[in-house]
Amino acid sequence: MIREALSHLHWTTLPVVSMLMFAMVFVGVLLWSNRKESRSIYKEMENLPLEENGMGGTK
Amino acid sequence: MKDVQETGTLERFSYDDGVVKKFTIATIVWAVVAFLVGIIIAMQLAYHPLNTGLPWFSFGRLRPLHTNAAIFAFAGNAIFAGIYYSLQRLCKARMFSDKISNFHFWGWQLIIVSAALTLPFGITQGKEYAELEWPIDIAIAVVWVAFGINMLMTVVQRRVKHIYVAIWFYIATFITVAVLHVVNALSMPFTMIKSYPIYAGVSDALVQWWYGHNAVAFFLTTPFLGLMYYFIPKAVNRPVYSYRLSVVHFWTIVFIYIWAGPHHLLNTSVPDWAQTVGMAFSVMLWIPSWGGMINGLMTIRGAWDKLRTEPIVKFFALAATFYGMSTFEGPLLSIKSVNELGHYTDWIIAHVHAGALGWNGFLAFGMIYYLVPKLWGTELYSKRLANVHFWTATLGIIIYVMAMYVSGITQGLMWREVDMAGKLAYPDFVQTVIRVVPLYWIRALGGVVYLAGTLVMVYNVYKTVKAAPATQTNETIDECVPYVRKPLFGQAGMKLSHRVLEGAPMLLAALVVVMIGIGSVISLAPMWMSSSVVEANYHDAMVKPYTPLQLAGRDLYVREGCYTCHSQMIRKTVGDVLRFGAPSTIEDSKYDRPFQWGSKRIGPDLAREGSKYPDLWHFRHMRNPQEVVNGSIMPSYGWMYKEKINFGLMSKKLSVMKSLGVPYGDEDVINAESWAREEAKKIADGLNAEGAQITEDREIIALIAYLQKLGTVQGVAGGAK
Repeated sequence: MIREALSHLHWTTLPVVSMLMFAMVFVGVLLWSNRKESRSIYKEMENLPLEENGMGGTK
Repeated sequence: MKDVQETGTLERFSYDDGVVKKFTIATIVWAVVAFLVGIIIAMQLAYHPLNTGLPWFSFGRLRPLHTNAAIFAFAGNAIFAGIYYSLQRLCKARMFSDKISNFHFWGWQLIIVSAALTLPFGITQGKEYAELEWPIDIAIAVVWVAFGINMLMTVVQRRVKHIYVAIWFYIATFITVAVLHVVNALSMPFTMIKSYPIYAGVSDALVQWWYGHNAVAFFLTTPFLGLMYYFIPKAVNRPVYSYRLSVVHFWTIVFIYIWAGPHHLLNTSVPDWAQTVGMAFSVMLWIPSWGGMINGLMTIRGAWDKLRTEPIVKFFALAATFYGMSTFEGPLLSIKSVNELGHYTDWIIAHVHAGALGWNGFLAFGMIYYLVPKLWGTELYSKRLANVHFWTATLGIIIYVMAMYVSGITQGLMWREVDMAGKLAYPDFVQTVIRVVPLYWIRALGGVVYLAGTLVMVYNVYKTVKAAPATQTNETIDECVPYVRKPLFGQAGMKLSHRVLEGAPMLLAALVVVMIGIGSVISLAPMWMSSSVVEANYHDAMVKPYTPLQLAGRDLYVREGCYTCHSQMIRKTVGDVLRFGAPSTIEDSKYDRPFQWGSKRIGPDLAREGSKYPDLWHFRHMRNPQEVVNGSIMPSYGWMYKEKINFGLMSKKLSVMKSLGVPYGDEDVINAESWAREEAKKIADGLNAEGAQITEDREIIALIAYLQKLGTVQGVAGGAK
């Protein structure tokens, strides 16, 4: 029955729907990453790889 | 779920460097193996006698060994080395379990060795980059899940508040590869080493390229991007150019990549709308890919002088550059009209190797040069040798890809060139083969140069490790003030939203599942529709399942890796139709488990090979291709004239196929052996009547039966030779 329903859908519109979905995700991520308070959080995060001070490799 | 806050108590802890060392050494060892096998098969294409007549040394069997070694052994071990090193340091925590780490390492090496032992002996599922048979597939799933648990639990137990973006890429890699592998590998075993996929024909093609494309995306791209976001800042001692851009990069790439699989099936019998979706999303990949490439390269800003002095930075800079080049070329090749020219040609080989040798290889090499001195507590033996490696490898790639670009575009143009009368200018496929053979020599030279550079690295690493102090251990001590967890929910303020989305590993993982789920469902929709739309619109009555002998022949075709050189998909393009006959339809491969559409035409398409030549032509051609087709580079399959058909397995094969939905009757299953023997005798008698000397129980008889069946569903005759 599901397959029957699928077979009657107009799949040719799907590329357009897909593009809209991508646009929504893209705009959403842009807005999310540019929100006001992200600057300080991302400032902390970008420095994480540089913070290590391991003393290792030898006894 | 918990948030974290500072306690004020300094903690001292250690990192497990032992497992990083092991994965690093394994990366180096498997790099040499993968490149060496690559050179061997490159030489076999340039000089076919190098196939030697030994079944386990023929191109069709070694090529999957090369691709598996390059992807899963070399790149795989590099990924794990980098992840185990960076994850611990970014989380300020030792790996969750040393036992799981070791299980992961040894399990993965065992899987690689299993691949090396099975593929040359023809034990294969015949699906590109997913050739390994079902027991190894199960082992891969188990080891992969162990790795994922170890990683996620380490993130959960971290001592720092934030989860750096590199770890997001690692998490996305784990989840997506697990989903891809399990779905694509579903099959029905009929012996301990052989199975048939549960999907057939176009469904199998859609699932396979959903997997195949995203194996590139989530095994060769996202984990390496994570490594890039960790190791480039480390190498230049500067934070990433734009963390914000890395966030956009991550979410868009995770969302988009999964849709793009059908670009491997352009102009085929896959529904047009699915092809359009694949093409559109491939083109959209330009945005995040170049965002990431720019982010990686611009991280070196202010430290460009290191490009002159530090080989590690050179490797990373060129890796990011190759990432940009490959991710420009990929979408370009996904545009239907460009794909018509480039698909099945050596252009794709150039594209793949620019990515694998340039992006993956150089990032791995840079990482190795960074890691080895740190892990063994010493200095790199020779910076000069590292520079020699860099320039040698760069030269090797340039030689390789230039040869393949010229070869690929030459092939694409020759295949479709027509004369004033509208006929093919090069009607014999072998004409286009002979033209590119000199380029195969140059390609092999490029591979040798690249391997030479790798051997310089091996020597450099060996001398570095040898110089390690005797007191050196497998642990690094670190300390930090950890954060204690508090309830994630129930807090006020906007920062909570960040914590939920970007600070909670399990929620992050769940969101990744949603992101890849949307694209996967839509990409695979045609598969679920197959029994309604496809069967309703095509003439099923004309499609007959393979006879037991044809099925046995098909299994031999898969065993020998014929798909590595021959496609079985005549595209809806003028050049293809003029050369090979009517375009392939969905029904042509309706009962094909696995589908064998292929991705390369070193030899001609075989979709309508059936009835094009008499049995004797195939009999002579398979034994000595050059005797029948002057200039052919195909290897001889002399062993198929000695090895016997396994008639005893016929009933079991049909029984499994029947359980998968192939319309065999009960009597067909019971009488499969006698049915096959009867058909074999008929073919053998016909051959012997024309002067061949062969008995009906030889494998070549089954293969001929299969080849003569190809494309005869509609009784459509083929095109040119």
